[in-house]
Amino acid sequence: MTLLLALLIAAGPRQHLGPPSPAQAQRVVTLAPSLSEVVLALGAQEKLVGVTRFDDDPRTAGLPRIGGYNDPQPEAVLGVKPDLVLAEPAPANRGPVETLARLGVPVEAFPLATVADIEEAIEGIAALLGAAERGRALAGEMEAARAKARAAAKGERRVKALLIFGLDPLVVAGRLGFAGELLEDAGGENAAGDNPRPFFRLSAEAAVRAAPEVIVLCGVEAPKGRAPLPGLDKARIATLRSTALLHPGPRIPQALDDLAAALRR
Amino acid sequence: MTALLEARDLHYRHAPGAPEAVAGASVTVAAGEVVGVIGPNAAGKSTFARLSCGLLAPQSGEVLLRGDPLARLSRRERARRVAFLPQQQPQDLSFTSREVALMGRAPHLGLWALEGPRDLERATEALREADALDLADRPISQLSGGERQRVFLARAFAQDAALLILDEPTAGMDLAHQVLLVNALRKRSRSGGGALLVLHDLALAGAACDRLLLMLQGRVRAEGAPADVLRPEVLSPAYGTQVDVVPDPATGQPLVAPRIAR
Amino acid sequence: MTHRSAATRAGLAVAILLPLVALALAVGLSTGAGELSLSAALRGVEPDATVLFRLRVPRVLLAAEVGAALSVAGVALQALLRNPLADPFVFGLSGGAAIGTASVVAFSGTALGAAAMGGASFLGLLPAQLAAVAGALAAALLVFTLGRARGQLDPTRALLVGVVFNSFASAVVLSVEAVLQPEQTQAVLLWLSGTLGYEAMPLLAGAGVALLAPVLVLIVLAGRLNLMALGDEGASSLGVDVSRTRLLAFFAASTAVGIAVAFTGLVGFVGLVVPHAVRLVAGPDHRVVLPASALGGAAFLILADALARVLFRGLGAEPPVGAVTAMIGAPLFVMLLRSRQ
Repeated sequence: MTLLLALLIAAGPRQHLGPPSPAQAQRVVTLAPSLSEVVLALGAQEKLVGVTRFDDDPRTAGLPRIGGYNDPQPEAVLGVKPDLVLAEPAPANRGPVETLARLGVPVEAFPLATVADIEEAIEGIAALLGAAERGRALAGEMEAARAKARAAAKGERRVKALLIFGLDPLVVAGRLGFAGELLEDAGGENAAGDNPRPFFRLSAEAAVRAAPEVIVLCGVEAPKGRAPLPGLDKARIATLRSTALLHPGPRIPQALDDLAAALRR
Repeated sequence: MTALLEARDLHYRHAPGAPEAVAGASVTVAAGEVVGVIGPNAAGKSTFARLSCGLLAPQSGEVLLRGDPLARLSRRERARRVAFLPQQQPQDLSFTSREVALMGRAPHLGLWALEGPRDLERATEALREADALDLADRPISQLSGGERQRVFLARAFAQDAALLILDEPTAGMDLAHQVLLVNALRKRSRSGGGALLVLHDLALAGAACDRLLLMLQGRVRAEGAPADVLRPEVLSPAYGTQVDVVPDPATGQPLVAPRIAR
Repeated sequence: MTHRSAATRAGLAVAILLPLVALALAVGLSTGAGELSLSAALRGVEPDATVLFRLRVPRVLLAAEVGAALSVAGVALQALLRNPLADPFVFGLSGGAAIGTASVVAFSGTALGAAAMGGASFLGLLPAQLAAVAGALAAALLVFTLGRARGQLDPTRALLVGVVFNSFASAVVLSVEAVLQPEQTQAVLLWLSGTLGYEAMPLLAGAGVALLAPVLVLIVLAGRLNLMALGDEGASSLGVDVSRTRLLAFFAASTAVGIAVAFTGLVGFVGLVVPHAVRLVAGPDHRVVLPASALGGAAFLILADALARVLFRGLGAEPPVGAVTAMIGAPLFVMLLRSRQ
């Protein structure tokens, strides 16, 4: 039964694997930097006992590294004796995550594809850590920030934009993922079309046909001296300096500010 | 006593529509007989030899080994009754001569194909018979053509089959070893063995064989004692060139030479 | 020089290699991402006991099983092809497995994918694993059917079909990757590089039993594989059913490779280097080379995996074991080639 559930882990709602989670977890391992951010934002830093090698938040500096996003090391995880593991479901980490569950470690998997997912994750994790109040507050702050951004954008013309997460191959944010949702909250119109996936590859031709006014680069450098996309020399390029949009997590208010600034500048 | 080999009216073509390689040939090899098959290239000699030991199946005709139809014998039983030595041997084997000789024991081994002391004995004997015992521990890849030929001959001997079918067995062998082969065959035939030899060397054919078959275009054109078959009037039309036959001064056996005018 | 019978030589080889495997096991069990106290583990202290018995032991056993399977398959395919450079994956088995896995990952969001998942979970496997075995066996069937000349498996033809199919499969996988999400591509790539995971003991036991059949078949065929070196006619005249032996050996090898690939993806070089090394020491007799390669392959992969776990330990990462076998295997192979001269 657990196996069957695990097989659905690739997409969909929150999943639980392994033995029941403790009522209030004391030793938490996160398998993705976004999840570490949530734990830290909930004020539960002392409960974090293991993070991935990609975690670069200074508050995780002294913590043991238990592997990568796609290759968490079960041995390392067991070595820090967690009573709860938080994971973001991905095809590549399925094996190690199932192994941990099989070995008796409770695993909670939270997809972080949409803003709703993120808010549910925050509240879910908060409940597991005994910080339910703080969780509700955080989620509330996020919704407030969204409402504020939408209000500011109301009445203004929607700016047609492409939200780019990768050049070569060109990877853009779709309307239904959290990045796309935030783009719309901030007053943008996603030029990437109606593809339902949160992130997907776009052909250069489709990008040109979409005719965005602004190209927002997230986590990629604009190549010097030439347009980042062939045929789109007329579009304005905005580079997001903060990494708030790269990690789906509690920094959504900050991400909204960045996006709004990028669109209006 | 039943003949070791009886091949009756064999017909064979390599592919549908191709001309018949063997067009109605027959032979009988009795115990104690050494029979030679001679003839020009593409006469069908090798094909005939292969049909006789079961490597090829004739389109019509029958082959009997000790009275039993070949087609009804299991491969192992076949291998116990007839040992075949093809014209060409693999050159790049890293097996030693002794190991190759031991391979001849295969039809006698059990499921796990493990040899026992008796098999080892027989293989050593066979190597001695073929004068290859000094080569026993050398890998095949390091041997000369003639040495290799002797080792593979030993493999055929080690099979302990009453009937030997050998296709050009003396290829690459020096004179001394050719004589050795003939003597080994004679010795075997004295104890009831028999052999069918495909030969190019007509002098050897005359010396080694009790009976000769002259094949041409898939058929047996002449059959009989060497003295009867090895005659210019028989050989010249078959080989398409004038040959001379003179008796060996010491033994009286027919020696054949192609006439080449200077 | 006294001649030792094949039975004696095989026995000697096993007697020498078994301690080597035991040593490899010891090394394998004592390396890993964390510190492990053997005494604590044996006393049942957590997490040492879990790490030892449910992580390291299954992993090392898996390495042994896969290493043995790939080596034995390598020996068989080299005999069939009469080519010492034949690797278990050269017949197109790797291409087939790759297509199977990539397709499953690509379809995983769809209804077809969900149906496949249902079927696979029934067997206790991930759908990607099942697809890998199915792909490998389908490729074997394809190569076997197209690689025939005059009604039986022709080594040269089969090799050509296999190589061409592998190229085709590469192209298909690359094209499928263009459709995949970035994380899925990562997963497929990782799998294609050959990785050892932590499997449940019942599954490992099942795999071990399943592997026993093809390995036993090949060991029984060992004598006949020797005779095949004499050429088709030579072997046939000694009583060997050449086409049946080829068929059996081919499918036994393909099955062993398919099972291995289902767990670990494409771990290269094991099936090439181990048989070669064994032949260099033990000679060409398959009755010795087959069991020796099984043991040698087990030891080799256990050690390669131990190295993989140790290599980047400081960085908290682990290279795929297929990368390590290539890193050790390539120079080792060159050394072996040179020592033959």
